[in-house]
Amino acid sequence: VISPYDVDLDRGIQDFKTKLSQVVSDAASKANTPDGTFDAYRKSYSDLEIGLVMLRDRAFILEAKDVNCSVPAVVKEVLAKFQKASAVMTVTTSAPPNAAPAVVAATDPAPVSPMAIGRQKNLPVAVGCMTRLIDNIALQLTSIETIHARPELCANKDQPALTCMRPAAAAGALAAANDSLDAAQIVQVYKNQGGE
Amino acid sequence: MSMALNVDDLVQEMLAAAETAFGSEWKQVKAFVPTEFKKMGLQLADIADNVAKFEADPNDGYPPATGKILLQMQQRALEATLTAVTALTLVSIQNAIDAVFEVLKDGVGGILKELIP
Repeated sequence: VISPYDVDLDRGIQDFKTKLSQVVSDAASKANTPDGTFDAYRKSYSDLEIGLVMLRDRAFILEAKDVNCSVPAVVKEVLAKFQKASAVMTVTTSAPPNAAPAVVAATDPAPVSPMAIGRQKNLPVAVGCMTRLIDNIALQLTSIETIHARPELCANKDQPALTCMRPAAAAGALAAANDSLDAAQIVQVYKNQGGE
Repeated sequence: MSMALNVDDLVQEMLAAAETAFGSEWKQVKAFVPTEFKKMGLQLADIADNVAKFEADPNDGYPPATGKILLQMQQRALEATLTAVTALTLVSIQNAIDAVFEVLKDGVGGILKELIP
């Protein structure tokens, strides 16, 4: 039905989580400086991606005989309702007084990631739960890279072409990515404890 | 500064939707789903807050476009959590199957015992 606990996956996910946190936090601490640009962290992101691809390959092989970990229809329904609930968040501000409310719509970010996007297209379709969870983590990494790589998201008035990881964005991105990583770790812990 | 987003209202709306959607399965997930939704509600409020800060002072918070991406990441995190629920269910099923086969192994002899993995 489902493959057993794998120590390499368990440690690999923990290792990825630690490194991701280090990279994003470090980039945030150097925001708006030449040392904090996306280019300055290109090698770090590449290393993270390579590590994740190796984990994905391992999970895919281990889960070759697993049943399809398809997300039940009920889960899709919950996600659809969640999307509806958070689809439009209207934020009113006191300054500037005549400014129109900022509207944040929950839509897919455009794929601008220089490294992650192309390779994902060629991966075999995930069947097992861990492979699906690792794919989820890969998408979170892609979003983090997108935030870091786009100058308009750095929004530095004096240097419009500068890319950066704003500290507030780093905190929010890490929180979401860590939730995905925690989900994968919970599965490994549960397997390791014999499902108890 | 005021925010249209009320975390408690959003969490309650999500919980009501989830309870309806999960139906008879709700008992299995209600132990941790409310905690996850609450955590997510706080993150959504944080996104709204940071976009508002940026609107007031472009040196603070982050632009709405970043908020869009972070919202997408939050939705993906929820999907991961619910995928993990599916995985835990499968682990439980696997353990039940293993337990049954262990009983069979002990209870049968001869050629059948050799065939049981």
